[in-house]
Amino acid sequence: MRNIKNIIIGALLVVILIMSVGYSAFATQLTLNGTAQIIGEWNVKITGIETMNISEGCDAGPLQFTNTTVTFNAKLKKPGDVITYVITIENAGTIDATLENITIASDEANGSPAIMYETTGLASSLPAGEKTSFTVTVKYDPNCTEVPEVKEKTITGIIEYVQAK
Amino acid sequence: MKYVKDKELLIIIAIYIFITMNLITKDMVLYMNVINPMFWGTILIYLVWNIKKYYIRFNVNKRYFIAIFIISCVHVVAYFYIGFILGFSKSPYNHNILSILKNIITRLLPIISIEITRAVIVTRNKNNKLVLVITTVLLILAEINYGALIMNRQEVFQYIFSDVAGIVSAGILSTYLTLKGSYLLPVVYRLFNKVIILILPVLPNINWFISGAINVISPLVVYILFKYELIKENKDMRKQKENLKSKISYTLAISFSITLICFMLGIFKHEPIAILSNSMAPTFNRGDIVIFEKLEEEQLKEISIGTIIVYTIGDQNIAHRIVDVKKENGTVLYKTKGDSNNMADMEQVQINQIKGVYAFHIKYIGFPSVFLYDFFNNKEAEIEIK
Repeated sequence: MRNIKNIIIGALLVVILIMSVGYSAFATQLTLNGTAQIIGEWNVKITGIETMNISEGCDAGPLQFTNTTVTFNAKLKKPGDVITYVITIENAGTIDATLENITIASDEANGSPAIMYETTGLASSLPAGEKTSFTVTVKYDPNCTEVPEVKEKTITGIIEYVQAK
Repeated sequence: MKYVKDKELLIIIAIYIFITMNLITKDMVLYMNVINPMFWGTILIYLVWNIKKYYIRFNVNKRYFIAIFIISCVHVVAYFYIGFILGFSKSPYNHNILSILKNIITRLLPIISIEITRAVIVTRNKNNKLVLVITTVLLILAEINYGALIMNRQEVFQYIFSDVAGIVSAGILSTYLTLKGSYLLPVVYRLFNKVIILILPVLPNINWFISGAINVISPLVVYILFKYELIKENKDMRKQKENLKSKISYTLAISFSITLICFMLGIFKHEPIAILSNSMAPTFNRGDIVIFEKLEEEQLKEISIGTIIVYTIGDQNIAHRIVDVKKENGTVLYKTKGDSNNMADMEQVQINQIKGVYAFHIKYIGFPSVFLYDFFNNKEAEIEIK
């Protein structure tokens, strides 16, 4: 009996210690959401972001993404400048997903009011095992007559998929 | 009419697991949504149809049943209570009747069938330890989603320690409960939480670490409660003393585990991070653990040049020293630098990126986390945050 008790306590401590080491290794790479308890089944995530169509002299900024959010800091030079970002989403789980909501939020307080953005190509359904990509185009308002002081804007996109009916 | 005997049933399950391991990597969706529910559905129908031949106990000790029901309720309440600390988010499950039904068939039916199978074999082989062990191991293996093991290294690690560890813990508990009561006890315990997750529109914001800890510790708590409180088989004084010692040992181990988990999660005022680079040498080095103190927003505004801060950029924690503070467009920006770096960091830090200030460090104990980080990120060379 004592052996069983020691094995159980030992196993518990070993598992918790390994989990702690693992947690410490990628503590900041976690996305807190309600899907942690269904890992393997539900696994819709952003897997990449890249740029295309960058107007001359513009800077696409550092590109960051977690499983559900994507953030970039677009620096544009003059009216009419454009940067297009391509974001890839993968359904690596076993449940078919459908797009519930997409929120693109920009840093209005510190970002340039002349910088606008539009989203295209986001698939409303994403069957299990498939990938999709969509574009976010950031544009310097071509009708802007005055050059504002701030020429950059940070944009964060939150993409929400749910189980398809 | 001849019926499938216990050992034949185990062989069928073993063959199914073997096929599953190979098949699931090819078409995980087909396996999870069609093949697995069909296999366990067939087993369930067969066993229920031949229930009399297997002599499964329908009767259950009322006291145990009430106890397991209350424990399950407490488990769910505790689980959702975490949501009030960390917040809630929308459940990804669809909640129309058809989807709920589909989820129940694909996700819960296999568990019910597994528990009935366990009951059939365990109740008829109570004294055969080898059969009990083989049954427990096979039914644990049958619950693992092998498709999740072909994801990237980090996700595999998370799946193993949040789900598989929980499946092992729950599987052992189920065999114990089946031995002591009836198959109804593990069915109630295991389904309660899963049904709640399937039907509620919001779920607590827990990560794999909390989820894994709950999945591992909860069955152990149930085991201790049943073994030492509900099933008092031995009235011998010496044995009771020994039981008290065991209870204390278990309580200490669980308390230590919960304290460690809370510390890692940053629930206390101090939180640890593993240092991945030598950019702050000689103050602290790669492989050390830095303990930082979390500060209130007002306290953060008072930090000055020379302070070592812990902040986040993208998906990384960085501990560097402040070398300059300035204000731009009303925003306070901190320029940081690693002590051993020649240049200051490229990106300036805003106050909302700061997690806390350096308190002290412990040498070398962060190396396991550093090695694991390198392994997850396929890095063999040293990482330098410049």
